[in-house]
Order: sequence, then C-alpha cells, then structure tokens
Amino acid sequence: MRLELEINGQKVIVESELAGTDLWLHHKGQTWLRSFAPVATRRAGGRKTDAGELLAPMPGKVTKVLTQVDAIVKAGEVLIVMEAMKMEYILKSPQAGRITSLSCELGQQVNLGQKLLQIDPVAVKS
Amino acid sequence: MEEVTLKPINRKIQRLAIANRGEVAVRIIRACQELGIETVLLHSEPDVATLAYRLADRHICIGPAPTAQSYLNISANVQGALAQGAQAVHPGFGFLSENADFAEACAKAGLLFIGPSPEAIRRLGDKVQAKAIARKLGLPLVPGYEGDDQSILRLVQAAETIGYPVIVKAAAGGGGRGMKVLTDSSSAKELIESAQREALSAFGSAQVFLEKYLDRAKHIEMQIFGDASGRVRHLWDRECSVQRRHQKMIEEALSPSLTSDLRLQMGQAACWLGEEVGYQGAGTVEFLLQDGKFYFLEVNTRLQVEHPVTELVMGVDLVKAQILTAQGQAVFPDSENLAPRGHAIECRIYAEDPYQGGIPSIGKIIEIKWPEGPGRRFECGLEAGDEVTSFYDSMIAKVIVWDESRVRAMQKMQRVLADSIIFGVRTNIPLLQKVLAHPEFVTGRMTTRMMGQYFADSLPLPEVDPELLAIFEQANAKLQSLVSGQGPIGRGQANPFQSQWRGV
Repeated sequence: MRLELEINGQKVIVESELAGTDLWLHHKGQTWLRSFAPVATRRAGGRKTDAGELLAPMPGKVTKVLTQVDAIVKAGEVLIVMEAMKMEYILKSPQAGRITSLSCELGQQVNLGQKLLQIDPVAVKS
Repeated sequence: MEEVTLKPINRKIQRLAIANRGEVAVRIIRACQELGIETVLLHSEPDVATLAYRLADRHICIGPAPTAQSYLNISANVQGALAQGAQAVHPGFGFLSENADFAEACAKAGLLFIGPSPEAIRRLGDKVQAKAIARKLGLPLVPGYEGDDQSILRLVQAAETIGYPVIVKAAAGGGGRGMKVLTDSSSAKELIESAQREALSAFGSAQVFLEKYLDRAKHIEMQIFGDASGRVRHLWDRECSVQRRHQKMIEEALSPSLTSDLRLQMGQAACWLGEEVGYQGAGTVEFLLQDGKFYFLEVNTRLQVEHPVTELVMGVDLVKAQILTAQGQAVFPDSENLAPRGHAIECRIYAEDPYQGGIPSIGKIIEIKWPEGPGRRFECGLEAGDEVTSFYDSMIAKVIVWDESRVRAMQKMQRVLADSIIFGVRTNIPLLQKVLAHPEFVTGRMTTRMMGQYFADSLPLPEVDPELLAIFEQANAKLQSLVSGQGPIGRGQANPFQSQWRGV
C-alpha cells in the first residue's frame, strides 16, 4: 500500500507491503526486499553453507549429475545441472574438495534450499 | 468504413477455446469479449489461480501442471474444447501454436484452428523445408552447407569455402546440442567430429550442417498477415536484438536499423514466403541483418509474443484480425491508411533475480501495480494473491509503450519501469533499466551479442544508504501497527467503507 513517511523532516511516499517476515518496499524506481526472518531459516541456495553443502538455488528438476561420491572436485567445476521454467542452470562447485555424499538423483524434483550434495574440503591436498 | 464480408459468414464463432495460459490467454479473452465471442479456457490444475481463469466465460481442466500432460497434450485440448461446445481454438504462442498435428486434430474434430493451415505450418515451420522454399524464391540465406556428403574432408572443405567463423549444427537437433563455432582451419576437423559425436548421442543421427556464423547480427523480423481473400501483406518490421540465450528481452517497432530500401526488400521477401504456402492469419518472418545485408532465418507460424509493438505503431488489433480471418471476414478496414507512426518498445518482465545471475524467482504475488497512462500498455496474467510457479515460462508480464519518437518511447519506458510495482517475486526490471540506458541500445547499434557482451554477470547490488534504512524502519513500523490492529483500518476493526454500502 501507499505509505506517507516523514524522513528528516521531508515527506516521502513509498509503496510497501508486509508478507510474513518479508518487507517489500518500492522507492525511487527500485524495489527492495528486507527479510526479518532469523538467519538460520534463510538458507543460501546454489552455494556452499559453512557446512560444505551445495543447496538448490531454486525449485526445479535435476537434469544432470556430473559428479559422484568420492570424486575430487575443483572450485568452479560443474557438478549439477538443474532446469526450471524452461531454462537450464549450472551449479558449480563453490570450493575444492571431495564429494562425501550425494542427496539428489537424476530427474528428481527438488525444492528451494534443498541439499544436493556435501563437499568435504579437508580431504584435498593440492 | 464498414467491414466488408468476403464470403458468406457461415463460420461465425459463438464460443472459442483458448489452448494457452498467462498473459496471452488474457489477451485473447479480451479480444473475444470485444467481438462478442464466449471463451473457454483450457487450463492445467494449478492455473485456476490466474486472471485468465477469472475472465473466461467457461473453463475446463485438461490435465496436471506439467506441460506434457496439459498444455502440450493434443487430445486433451481437443476433447476439452469439444466438451465445452467451442467451435474454434486459439493456440496463442508457444505450446501447441506451431504444431501442425494439433491444427490437423482440431480440423478433424470440426474445430476451427485460429492460424494457418496444417500444411502451411508444416512447410514453413520446418527449418530445412522453409530454407528450401526461401532458396527457391531467391531469398538471401546465411551461406552454408547442407549436403549429404558428411565426410570430414568434405565438411572441412565446405567450412573453408564459407569462410570462418562457421557454426556447425546438428541437422536433427536444436537447443544448442551438437552446436560448435569453428574459428579457424586448425581446429575445424576436431570440432566437426565432436559435433557429429554429440549429434549422434543426442539425436541418434550424426548428420550436421554448416552455416556462416554471424557474430554481430541484428535480429529483425517482418510481421505478415494473410487475409481471408488470400492476400498476404506485411505490417512492417520489429527489431528484437536484445536477447539472452536466444530469449528475447526488449523488442521495438520499427527497427531503428533499416534503410527504407532494406525495409521494402525484406517486406517483399516475407510476403513472397507467405504467398508461396497460401498463408492465412498472423505470422512472422525472421531475418538476421549484418553489415547491411539481410539473411532469412526462420518463420514463426503464429502470433508473436512481441505483437503489441506492431499493433501500437500500426494501429491494428492482430488477435481480432486472426479471429475475423478465420471467420472469413475482411480485416484492416482502414487499410489504405495503414502506415507506421511513432515508435513502440516492449520489455518482457521475467520473474528472476538479476542480482543472482538471473535465477528464476517463484512465489506468491503480494502486490502488482502498473502506472497506467497514455501510450502505456500492460499485458499480465497475474493478480495479487496468484502464484508464480516453476512449471511454466518465467515471463510474467509485458510492458509496452508508444510515443512519437524512439527517444520519447525510451524515456517513457524508463519512467514506466521505475513506477511499476511487483512484490512477491524478484524481476528483471533492474536489468531492463540498465539495458535501456546502455549507449549501444540508446543509439540503436545493439546486436544479438549485446547481452552476452555487457550483461553476462549479475548486476551489482544497489547501495543501501542511511535514508533508505530510515524508510525501512518507518514503513515496517507503520505496517506492523496496521497488522496488529492499532492502525486506522487494522484487523479487528470494522472497515470504514462497509457502512457506506448502499444499493444504487
């Protein structure tokens, strides 16, 4: 909805909506999203978490699995290809390491933030 | 001027089925409403929560969400249309719109297919056949080799004759598989063999063909229209060079890149192709333009996503014209005055995150508001509360503007995009704003390589300044207080408008 705010004594009109813990705001031609959700529930997708997991950056289908358990991978190596909305997305390894587990399979429909595989960085000597 | 009937109207459509979804379904419904035709929406299970579902007079579910089981299922669409008593089917674009088997299945079931004949779809829709027709008519083609001699020696020799760079493509394929760009003779043999292997494993045939690789081409297309009397005319051109991974993003009419001489030649060539197959309805002939020369690319035997830019500069309604043509009626009543005026630009709004490499963004639309005004047109199939899912294309809307010149149209588009509000999913609007402001676009010099050259990376995140933080805090506080019922129309209080309901 349209909100009339007062910032430093100046009238500022913005468009804003609250959806759960997300605040959507449109100001000066730019849309912003500010999430007030606790950090733990905001799992980063498509990149490693501290735990060395590769997570799905969006919901979609796994169309290629280019690695296997125990494979030694380089940072930037293509590990998984996903498809969503008719487009292909290539998920690369965020770090060098050894694949210790695979949690998805070819053709599987995965959710946003779902764990796809685990990389163990310690196991690599380069 | 009155519409002149060419044949006795024995095909007046009372009820028309729409074999599509989203914004194009809404576009077709509105055209039908204006023509006094009832509509039947053939929809998938989740698409009950869309604007098209709400607007259609009737609907029938033709299958679950996956397109193969619903929007691409020929018999489900035909059966659905028949079950709801439709006399005609409009396929929109994408899905079954260029499927000759679908056009034929409709005809067999006694349904009028809004589009060209199955034969015309087959002849022009097939890339190799369309090229053969174009060659016969003397249209310029990208130099290439499509011979049966597939020996590596012959192919390398052909590549040398064409001149590097050359692209090798799988004859049976598409979608980039079995496709390689050859830049010099030293690696040609190796790359052709690799393309043949890929083609064999992907499509079961190692057959490849070669084409001159146009590395700085513009994408320019001609809108053609075949009326009920058999006359094929063109409605001038559009330029769609701003594309990424063969997906168009910004289109305009007319192209800023054509001389009037080239424009006339391309228009004539497009009409010849249409006349050759007895084309009826709306179609598009695509060309590539490089170094002042144009080359035939392919034909889209359907309405095009970017048809609104042509409608705005020409002052026509292509969807109504399609339906009237199918009914055997005349179109473009003011045709002696049909000439382009001003300039139109379309931006496709995709649900994706430009700050994260364009990954798709899905979710529930919380708010969607368009800044209406003169020369501004919005095509969208979603309303607040509807979901953007991962089952379908990520294009959720199109913004189209018209103004008196290209410069003014660009200014208008920038303002319109800045004032468009979509909450709930991320969109490519920030990317569109940057592309529109890029010198290559502003001066009209863009080629199909523009996006890859300048916008391959994610956009840098915009700066959050202290003022913005203060705005966040205040907006949040205000909205929280409304939610908790302390505000003027918060929860738990009577809506102040409720008491004002009066029968009138």
